[in-house]
Amino acid sequence: MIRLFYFEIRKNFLTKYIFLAFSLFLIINGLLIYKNYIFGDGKSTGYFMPHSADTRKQWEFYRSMHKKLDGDLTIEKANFIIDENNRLQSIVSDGTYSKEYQSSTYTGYFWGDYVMVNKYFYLPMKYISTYSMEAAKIVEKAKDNIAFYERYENKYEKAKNEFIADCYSRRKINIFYDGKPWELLFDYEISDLLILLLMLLGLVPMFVNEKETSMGNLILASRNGKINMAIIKVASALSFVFFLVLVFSCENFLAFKYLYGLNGYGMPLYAIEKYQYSPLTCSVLTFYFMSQLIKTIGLFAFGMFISLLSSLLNRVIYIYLLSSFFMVGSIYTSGYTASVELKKTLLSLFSPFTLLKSNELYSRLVDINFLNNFVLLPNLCIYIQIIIISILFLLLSRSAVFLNLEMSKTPSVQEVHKNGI
Amino acid sequence: MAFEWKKILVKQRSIGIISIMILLKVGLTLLNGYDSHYIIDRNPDGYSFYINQYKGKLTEGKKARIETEYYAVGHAAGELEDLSNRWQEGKIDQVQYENLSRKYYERQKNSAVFNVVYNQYYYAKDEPNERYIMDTRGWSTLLCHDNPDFTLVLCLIIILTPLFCNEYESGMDALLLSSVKGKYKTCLYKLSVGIILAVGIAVLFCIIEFVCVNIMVGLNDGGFPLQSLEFFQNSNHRISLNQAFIAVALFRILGVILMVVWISIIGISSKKSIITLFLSSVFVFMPYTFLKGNSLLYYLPLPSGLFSGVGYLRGTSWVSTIDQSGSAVKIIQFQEIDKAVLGILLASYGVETVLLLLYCLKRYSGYMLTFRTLKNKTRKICGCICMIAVFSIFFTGCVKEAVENNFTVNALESMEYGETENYCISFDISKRNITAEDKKTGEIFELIRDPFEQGIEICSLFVCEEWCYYLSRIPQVEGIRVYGIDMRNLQQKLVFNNVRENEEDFFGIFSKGSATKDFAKRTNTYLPVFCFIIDREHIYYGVDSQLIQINRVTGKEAVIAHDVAEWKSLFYHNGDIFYVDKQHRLSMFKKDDGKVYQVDTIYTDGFFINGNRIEYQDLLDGNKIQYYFFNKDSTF
Repeated sequence: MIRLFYFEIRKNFLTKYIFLAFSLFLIINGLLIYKNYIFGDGKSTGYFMPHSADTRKQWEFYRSMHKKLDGDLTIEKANFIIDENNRLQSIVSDGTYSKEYQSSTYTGYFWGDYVMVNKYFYLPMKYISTYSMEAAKIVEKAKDNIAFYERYENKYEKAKNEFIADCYSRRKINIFYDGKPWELLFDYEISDLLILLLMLLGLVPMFVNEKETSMGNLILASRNGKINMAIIKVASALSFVFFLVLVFSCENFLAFKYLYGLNGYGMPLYAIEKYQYSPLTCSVLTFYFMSQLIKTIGLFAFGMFISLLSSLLNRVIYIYLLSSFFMVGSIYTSGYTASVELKKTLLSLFSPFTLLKSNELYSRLVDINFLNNFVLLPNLCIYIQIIIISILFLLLSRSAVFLNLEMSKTPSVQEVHKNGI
Repeated sequence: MAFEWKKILVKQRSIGIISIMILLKVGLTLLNGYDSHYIIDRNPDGYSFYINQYKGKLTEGKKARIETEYYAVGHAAGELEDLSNRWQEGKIDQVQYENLSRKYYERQKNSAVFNVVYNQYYYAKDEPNERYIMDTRGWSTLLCHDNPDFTLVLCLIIILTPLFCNEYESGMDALLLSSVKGKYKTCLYKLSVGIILAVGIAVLFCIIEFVCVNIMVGLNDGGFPLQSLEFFQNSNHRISLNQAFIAVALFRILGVILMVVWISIIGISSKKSIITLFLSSVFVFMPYTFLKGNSLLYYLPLPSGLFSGVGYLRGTSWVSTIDQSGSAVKIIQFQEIDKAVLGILLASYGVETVLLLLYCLKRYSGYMLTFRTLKNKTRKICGCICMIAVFSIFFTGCVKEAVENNFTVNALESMEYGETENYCISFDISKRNITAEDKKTGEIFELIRDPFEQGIEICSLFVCEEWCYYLSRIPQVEGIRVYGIDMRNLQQKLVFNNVRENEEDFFGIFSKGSATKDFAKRTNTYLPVFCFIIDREHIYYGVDSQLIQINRVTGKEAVIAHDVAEWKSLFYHNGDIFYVDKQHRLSMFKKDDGKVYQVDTIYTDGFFINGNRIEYQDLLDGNKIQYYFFNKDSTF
């Protein structure tokens, strides 16, 4: 079995062209992250400024300040930032400040200092220090709602508020790190496109190749071939997908770590402002690994779909065409993840690409009223995709065996049967 | 050559694929709609009226007329009020009032669309020789987007990949390359067939786009300068819109020729369909991921820039920002491609195509024949896909409640207060909160109890039977959401939603929707809602003097009246809506024929409907209370 698995991997994925494409995409992915790092987020009021000679001083100030402030959030640190923010605000508030170069400032200009301190330190620190109060308000409201909805026998709202009261209680942020690079890492999605393209390259010809070379007959003639062929092929396909996700996620993490300096691995996910209403209480690092795992399930489902097409059809062109259509359609429907309409939400649940969007699924409480029960939408989506994977596997194993059996009924084989051999 | 045609169209079933792609192209083009403005969509006749008056080159006479109209539109409300006061004071009689007020009334009714036209005038007056006033919707749809045509690209990749790959995969290459004709002429024929077919498809797709947009919104005034579209405001190309469209089509044709050659080279080099499919897709789509909206895209020796096309005609665009010293600076977003550079680029593309064609011929015929074992002919397709996901729930639409059409309601009252069997429900407009009071116990509680700050704004209330409906908006986002709360168990259900929720950009290949970019659209979300009524088939709400009807099944929105006097009496009566218009006339929207009628010659500022009797304050008779009776079917 292991030997068969190894042969499948070698035959389908350890090929020259896949290796070349994979290497090329790894380089492209790295370059793209670097390009985004150099050019910034492209917005005039965005968070990530470009890295150029003009912004060198600002970035130096950003790094030195973070070196000083990162770690446990203390009163001294908070007071320092509040004082600096107030001082600079008083300088720039009336608009009569000097726009000339000032050697005594952090960045060379009063305005630059104010923007840097306010945007990168004052506001994030304010968010962190007030978060526990905001979370307590949510819990208080939820507790109030539990008793209220219990009276009206509204099972769904009661369960939802119970979950909120439980999940959002005891939330506190004691540390200060820059969460924006983490947010950027979670939102980075180009590597997913590269993985999808590599999946098309690797999985589309997987079963077709056997038909083209008539290897199907040979495999089915062996004792273990009939049953094991589909299992081994699927296992090898899923291993390929898993390998791609692993390598690209590691590359993304290392590239972001090296360029943006991801700090505060133990920082809770809700310390990032975008994730303040997230139902998850894990650390940012755990969330990253969890999102990659969830992504793998989604990609497994897509991989199974391509494999099924590959086992059903005889021409690469049609498999590629149908897979592309499925990919485009499913990516589009996954855009309805946060929809308030049930039919659109259901569409997104059945799309494997919804699981590629952990950054949206877990940024706030996304739930669904399932037969008057409270169900977390990401969980439901994972269950559905696992069911889809299982169904596709059953279909695939049947089609792989029966289609090959049908194909094997060539005249020569029939003659062999006639002759009683 | 005929064999090649037969092979590609019939044997490789390209006809079927092309037909599917054509249908898909038509469907997607119609589904995507056209660029427009919600103000124009709500009053297309008013927009056409002004555009027909002012379209074309901006002359001194036209300038003066627009400025006069601008002043008149701005003062129409005041003039109308003044006229009404004079009439009520007896300084003018009713006939004079009606005659004089008509033009002010019309102006006020069309003031929103006039402002759209005025913005166009404001844009045009900077460069009157280059910027004409026109209905830009159709041309903007055709020319102001730099997204690649996904259907065209996919169609070409699928059709052209087997051109060479099939020969290699079926082992026919050994046979072909052993003959003189097969060695040289076959490649030439294949390339010719591929190019002719690809160009034909590209032209067909351009025609489909043109025809569909023309049918949807019209493509008039194609002779106007390109700079009439704001997207090309800094363009240095002195060409008309028609010429620009032809130029973009020609760029696309050059792009498809280049793509044919690239696909052929990849096919000949790799000899495998999957590698050709993969590399072709990567070559075309990847540049968009890297360089979307960047002028560098148009310098690449790949067909991606040519497929977008419009970038070659665009001018430089900037974005304003504040630098670290606090001074305003401009940053270039898109760098214009100079005319001379464009010429060089096009010539380079031509040379590249010719060189690649020659290389293609050489590579094919110079192929070192290794007599491999001929593979078995590709077998017939033995299976078909039977996976049709049936989502029966998709056809059920939004939640249905037992709302009737036969009721009378005072919209001014109902948007703030309503009663169910057990509760008195009220909406506090200042706190944006809905509270319910239990009739038996007197307990007061909030109905919207979400623990999270969702950033939604409740705008209006409507209570009907045991349901409490409310209309909400998201600040700066176009569209409304209507929810219903069943007061028996306090379950909330979505009744209607037209907020655009899907902003999928396909990994950056396509631009995100511009719903939040339009300043007018964003500010509109802050205008107060002055009425809100729901019946079994429709949702009615009023904003910006307009009464809007939404079909609950289709979601289609229609403006049924443009001239509603806000915060004055408005009644829903058995499907029809009675309101006071800006000329103080009592008007009625009749649901049966979808038209607005004036109720006799009643001039009023306030009225009340009781059964089939209208009690109104008669402006013609010193504000005395008068009665007016109508039939059950709202006929008079």
